[in-house]
Amino acid sequence: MAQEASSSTSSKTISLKTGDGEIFEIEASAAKQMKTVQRLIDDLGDDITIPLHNVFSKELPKIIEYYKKDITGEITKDFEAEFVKDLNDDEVKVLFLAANYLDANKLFEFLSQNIADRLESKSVEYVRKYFGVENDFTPEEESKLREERAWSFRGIKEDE
Amino acid sequence: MEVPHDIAFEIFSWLPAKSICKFNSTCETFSKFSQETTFKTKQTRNLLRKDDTCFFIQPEKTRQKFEKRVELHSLPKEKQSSGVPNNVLTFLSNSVSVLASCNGLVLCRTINDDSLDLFICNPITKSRSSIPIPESLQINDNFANINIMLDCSRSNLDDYSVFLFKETNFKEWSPTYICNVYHGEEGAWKTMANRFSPGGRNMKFDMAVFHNKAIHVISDSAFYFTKSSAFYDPYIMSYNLENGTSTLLKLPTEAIKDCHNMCNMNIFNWGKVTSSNSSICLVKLRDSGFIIWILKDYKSSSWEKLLEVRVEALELKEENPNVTGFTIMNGDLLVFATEENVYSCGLDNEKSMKVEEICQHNCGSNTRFIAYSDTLRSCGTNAETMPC
Repeated sequence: MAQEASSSTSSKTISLKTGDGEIFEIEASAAKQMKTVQRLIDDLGDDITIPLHNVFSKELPKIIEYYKKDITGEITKDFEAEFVKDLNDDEVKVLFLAANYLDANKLFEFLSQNIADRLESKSVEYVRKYFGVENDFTPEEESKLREERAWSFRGIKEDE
Repeated sequence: MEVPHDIAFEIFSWLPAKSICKFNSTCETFSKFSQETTFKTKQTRNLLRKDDTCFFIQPEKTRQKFEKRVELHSLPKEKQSSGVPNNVLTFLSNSVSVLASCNGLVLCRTINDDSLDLFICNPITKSRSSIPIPESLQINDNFANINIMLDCSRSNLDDYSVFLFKETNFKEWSPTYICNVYHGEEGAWKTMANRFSPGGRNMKFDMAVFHNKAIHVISDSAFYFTKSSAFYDPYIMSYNLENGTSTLLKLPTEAIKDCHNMCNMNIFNWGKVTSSNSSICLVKLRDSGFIIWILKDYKSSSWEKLLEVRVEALELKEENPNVTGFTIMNGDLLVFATEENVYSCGLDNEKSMKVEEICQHNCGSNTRFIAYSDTLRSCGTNAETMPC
């Protein structure tokens, strides 16, 4: 398939298709920020719809919104705070995993910090559920850990 | 939905050290994170971008030899997630005076000896590294003031610098100071070629501010010069760390007025250190009132008054509060102590200054504040374990 020489990338849009079959448009310069997307464009060309099997229509618009602001240099602390304000911990996790899949570095880093802030004062059990891990210590190992770390368990918030 | 472990590694590296210690109990894989050097380095670097979450509070230096005490408290939002193990704090409280802290490293002086015995430690990893004192810098008097500061490199996380200013020219009215710098990674002292000449006044070395590649110290404001002297009014003197030049920065006119009596003025970093409009602020406490100025233009020493507030207007717990010490944390939060309590006061909106009670304290009058952030920063390759 012949590829057109790309002229100004600012006006060029790329079509993305989510895992649940919906199509969204983004600017080519925003697509550059998502390395997975850029790799797919490099392989498949920028004229066809790029399939994103692991990203769904719930989260892609939010990601596009973030990068729309990024390419115009408008990402501020206030914008970032607003961006995650109404998301619960699980919604942020889904967004975060999508950013990881898309290799969207800036969003990934911002969401890492945001998740860390949310988890800081949560309980160990909450964090296990969040990451989908099991308590694989022996009872002796675990009580030894609790003894050693008794100070770090002070003041645990009630899980929401 | 399971999250791959290397992603959990990323998220955990943004947590303060106390939270990381808590989550060591999550599962075996996660408990190994904090033992990995790459993790410790990542966490140290990440926390450089975040605010300090705690502060040390101690009695006045001369009192501390008899009333050994080091307290650490977290800012209101951070009580659950940031801090230091109790046994380490007790150990420090019984044996040291904390001199400075930066990115999780704490510079301490043991107070049980008359000679100067310094070390850097990380209270979370319980590691410490002694700082050798060459004969020429040794002092044999526990009450003597040592003019010392700590700076942690933001680019090389294995390095830190300790600055020690030693007075020379004792007979002159305007003493000069030799600046000796200890580089942690190299483990060696170097002497700066040019001496620091802070003029005729006594300088508050323990309230030094790093800004614009220079160390800034404010003078005291006592009345001991005549009007004809160049040093009649208090001032700030900066010491450029690249070329060793000393430069005087004037204080705002209103600050100099009525400053000779019962007045306490100190400078602090203003704004986030990483932002381009970071600067220096001046806080004047006089007559139970705070006035704060921000340095707007460095070259011309022009200041802008930020706000003025009477302590009684802050509606504190006590009836007649007497402020015994204060600091500005994170470039935007006023933290101050009364005889019994510590409060914080947000400075971002002067119409509604949010005052919060942080804790009680037992450090008496003239309390000293040192900000702290719990990281896993390394104390260097020759670090030993702290005995606690």
